[in-house]
Amino acid sequence: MKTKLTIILALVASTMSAQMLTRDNEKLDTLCQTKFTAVYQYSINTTDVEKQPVTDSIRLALQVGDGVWKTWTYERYLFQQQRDEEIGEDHFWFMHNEALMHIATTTVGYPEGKTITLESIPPLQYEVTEDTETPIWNIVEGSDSVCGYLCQKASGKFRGKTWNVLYAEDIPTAAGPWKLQGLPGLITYAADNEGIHTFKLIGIYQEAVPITYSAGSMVSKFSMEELRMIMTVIPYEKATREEMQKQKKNVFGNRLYLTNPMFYMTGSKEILSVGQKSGNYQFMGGLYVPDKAHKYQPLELK
Amino acid sequence: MKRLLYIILYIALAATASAQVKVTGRVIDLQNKPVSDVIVKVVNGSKTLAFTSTNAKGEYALELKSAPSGEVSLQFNHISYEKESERLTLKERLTKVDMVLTPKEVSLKEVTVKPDPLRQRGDTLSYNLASFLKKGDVTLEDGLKNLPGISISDNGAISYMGKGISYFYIGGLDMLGGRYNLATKNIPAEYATQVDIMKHHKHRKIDADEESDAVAINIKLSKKAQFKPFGQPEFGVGMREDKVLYAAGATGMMFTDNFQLLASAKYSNSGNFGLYDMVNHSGGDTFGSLATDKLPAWGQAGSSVGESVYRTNGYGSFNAIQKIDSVRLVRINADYTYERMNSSASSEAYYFAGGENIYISESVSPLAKAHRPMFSVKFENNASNHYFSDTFSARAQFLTNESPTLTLTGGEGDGELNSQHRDATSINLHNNFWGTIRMGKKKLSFTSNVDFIRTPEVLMLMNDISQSGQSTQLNTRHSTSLQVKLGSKWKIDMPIDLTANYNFIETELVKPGFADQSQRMSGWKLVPSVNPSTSWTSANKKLYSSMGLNMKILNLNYLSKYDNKRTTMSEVFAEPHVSLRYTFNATSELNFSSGFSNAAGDIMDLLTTPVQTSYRSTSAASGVIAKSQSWSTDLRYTKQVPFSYFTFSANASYSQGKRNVLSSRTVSQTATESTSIFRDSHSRSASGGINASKNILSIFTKLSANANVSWSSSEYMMQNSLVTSYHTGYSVRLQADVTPVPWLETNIRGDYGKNFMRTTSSNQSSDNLRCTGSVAVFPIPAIEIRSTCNYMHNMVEPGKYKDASMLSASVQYKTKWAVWKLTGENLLDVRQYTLTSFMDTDRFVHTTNLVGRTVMLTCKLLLAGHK
Repeated sequence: MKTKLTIILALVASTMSAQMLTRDNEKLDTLCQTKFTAVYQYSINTTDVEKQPVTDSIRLALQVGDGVWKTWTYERYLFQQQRDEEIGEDHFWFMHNEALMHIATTTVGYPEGKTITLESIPPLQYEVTEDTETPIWNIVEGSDSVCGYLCQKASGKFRGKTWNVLYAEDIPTAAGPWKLQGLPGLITYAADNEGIHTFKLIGIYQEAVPITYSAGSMVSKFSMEELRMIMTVIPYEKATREEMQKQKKNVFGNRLYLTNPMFYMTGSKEILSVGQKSGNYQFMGGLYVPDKAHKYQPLELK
Repeated sequence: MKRLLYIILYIALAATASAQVKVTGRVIDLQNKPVSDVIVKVVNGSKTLAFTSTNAKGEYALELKSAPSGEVSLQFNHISYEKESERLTLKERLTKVDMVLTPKEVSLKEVTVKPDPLRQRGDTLSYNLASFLKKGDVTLEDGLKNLPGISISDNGAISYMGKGISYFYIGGLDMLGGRYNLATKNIPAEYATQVDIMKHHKHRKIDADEESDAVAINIKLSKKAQFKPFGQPEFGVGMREDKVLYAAGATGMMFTDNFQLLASAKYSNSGNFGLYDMVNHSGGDTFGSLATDKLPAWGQAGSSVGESVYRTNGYGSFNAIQKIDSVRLVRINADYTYERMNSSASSEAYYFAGGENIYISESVSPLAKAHRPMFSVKFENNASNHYFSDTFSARAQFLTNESPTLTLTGGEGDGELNSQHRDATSINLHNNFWGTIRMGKKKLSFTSNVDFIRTPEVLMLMNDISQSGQSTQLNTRHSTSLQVKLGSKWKIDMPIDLTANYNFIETELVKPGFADQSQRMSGWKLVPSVNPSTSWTSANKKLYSSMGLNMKILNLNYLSKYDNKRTTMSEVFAEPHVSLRYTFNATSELNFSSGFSNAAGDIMDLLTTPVQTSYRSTSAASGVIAKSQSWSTDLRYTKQVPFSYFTFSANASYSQGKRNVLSSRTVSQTATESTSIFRDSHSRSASGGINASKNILSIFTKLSANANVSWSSSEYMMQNSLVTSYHTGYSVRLQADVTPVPWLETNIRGDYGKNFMRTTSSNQSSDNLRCTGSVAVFPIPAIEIRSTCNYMHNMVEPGKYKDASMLSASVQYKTKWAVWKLTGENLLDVRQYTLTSFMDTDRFVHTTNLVGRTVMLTCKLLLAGHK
């Protein structure tokens, strides 16, 4: 209990993205119960400001329920599951990587036939609803073992990228990380042809926990009246996938973003309701913005 | 030919269609309910020919491009059901297969996620500093700047996630206290191997079971920095106005497990060499007293552009800490700082004096010297069941101030040279005791802060006038706070504070032709206060409100020694305050706050005997404890437009107040007398502003515009007549940031302001324009070139303007062995800057003499680079 309290205090005091504070403060809809949760190590091979190669990595949780599955950051999942001792105190690295890698929360099958993605372009969060699109898969010869599961190879094209994957028929579900899905078994490994993006299964928990959805995000802001951080609920902005793709390219793909990830912000920090700028940790509308970025590598090219 | 082509195409399509095979069906459970997400596969041997999954109705449809030969297996897999399969031969073009599944317990082989390699232990984050260092990083400060969450301000203050650090340890020992700049600016970055950031830090072990939001930093040094002394020399040379500039410094250090020492000395006449090394981030660099506040020093000539002060500074610092055993330690810090500043300026003052203006022209050349020795010793016993610490510090300030002034009154004659000289010496003894003992589950704490400030003499000699003063203060302060949270919506705060002070002050004015004017006043001030407040947040968190009532009882008891007049006061003040905030949505928000506040004076209000503060100015207090009341309110609305990168905000505020005294001033050609009289005065002010900005991503340009307007009115007594003055001001700012290519950054900014001052008998206005352009070029990573240009167009008097342009540039080159920096300030050698300002009804035209063209080359040797 003490650890939980400590973490909550740390989050509030440190103006972290309050998306993590979903235990008591945020109204959550339960979509369904999970059958199991798969954990992936997601990596992006890219370059830094000085064009040196760098690999960013973060853990993702894929919660699989009946007809619905949700991919989001493993740490946020742990926090919701109150498994604080597994998060540790290393929030900053997790948040840093989450922002650096532009991690979105993807819910496939909610509502039926649709996919909802929560994207962030600080200071705002956007909700993108689209028809669920299944990659065109070809099962190819060959197999490999991932986490002790025998996996079959397959390849498929999805929105401008070719993906080489492994899937485990012993885990009969069409689910997979992010929007990769539709194979006759859980996707345990996925890498794009260019070797930029990689998802690798690193854990599986058999559990029945709620898959949740929130219609807005909690944002921590500095209150001039109270002289402390306070929590505010703000609904997501709605956007189409095309709009989001265009804006992500404009902002994250802009060369100025590498050296100054806040270059596109307009107005003063106060106007933008910035939590505060504190060196390499900056928060815009409660969302973390890295001090320096890495070259943007979109998951979808079309 | 065309017909033949159609026939061939038809035959081909028909052949293909006939080869395609489709399998459809529905999957249900034992309760006849559809089962979704069942993986349905057609398998031939070990080869999967086709696959799909069932929808919410349990339906599926599979297509095969060609009918497989022989028997195939149609498999139905679901994680919560028993696996089923059916063997069939797909001869029909459409085959329908329904299936009933039997539930089973989910049984997956679990795989536990292994934790990431630990970068932390508990609340401590450890960074390997070497992996964060960049090519040009020299000092520990340079390295710390690269760590996530760490930010370092211009004066060296370190904060983590926006919170200033409470302790700076080296090897676990807090040797420097708040003067950690000595370490961060002098220890080579490469000597620090690890940086620990300790969140929720509890310096006192007895507080281990308490919550804390304090942050501390611990630096671990490499072996080459331990157990042996090491140092780092710096030097620089330059030229300014045919005068050679120099800078030199050296720092020596030694660190062992139980003993640490850091000694540093720097001296320079260039102005900013080692300027921030001795900043104390815990406060207390300088201190003031009643006597020095009553008889203040004359300031240096300031300028909003360029540098106007010639500065020579130096310091010596010795710091050591010794661990006696695992819980006890002794720390000693001793410093001596020296600073010399001089500048020059001229001003033309147009004082409003009823029906006529009084014109006074002055040329001043202020000079200030300050010597500040400091010594402190701290003993600490930091055990898990008890804590005792006592810190004693002794500080002194020896200040010398001169401000010779050439005065020309009425615009006639050659002027008169007035000498002004001030000496002030003050000492400050401070003791802080903090003791805590644990008794079972209870902890008993006692804190005592005693501050003794003595100024034996402030002596001001102005021509043949002598003004002196002395003061003694003994200040104590205690405070505590209680906070209660009621559910998730309500919160109550109850801070309690007690201040108890004893004050004594005496002044004496000796003026030829006048009787000596002396006063001697002493007494005490006791202020208990409580500030209960409550806040409420709506369930959806969109509405937040808070209100409170600050109550304090001001008790004063002062005795004037010469006339034996006693002034007492015991009065309760109440200050209600309220605030509201409503968040409409992610892009718009409304804020409102309003409050009533009281303020009351102290012993300084009772010093009715005039004191001479300059060769021509005297001031005297009203003899009445000043009390003021004010009410202010503020309304602010912000709006953002998503995806357009456009932001807009508007704000408005209003306040009005009342004081029980009225400021009064009488100006003549020879003297200015300031005092307060016992009569109510009123003031009002209102302001509003709009801000808008737009980012045009495609051309790498950010545009912003701000416009503000303000209005205020105030009352005062001028030349024995009540004057109400009205001030109106407008200002506009336009700014553009453009980065046309990655190695070039440019910024252009323009500011325009216009001010109007109106009274019943006068009307004045002024305006000024300022444009700033800066450019930064990075030809290669090791070289950085920067240049800034300023252009000013300021009104001096109606219809008459003065223009000025300033240019500065710098080039920095970093190698493995040294950092070379060539800076050029005021390259156009502009020597004057003129600005018009208003104070009440008076107009002043300030002309500040600027420091001339300065070129300086500095070098810091990176001895840590020699491995």
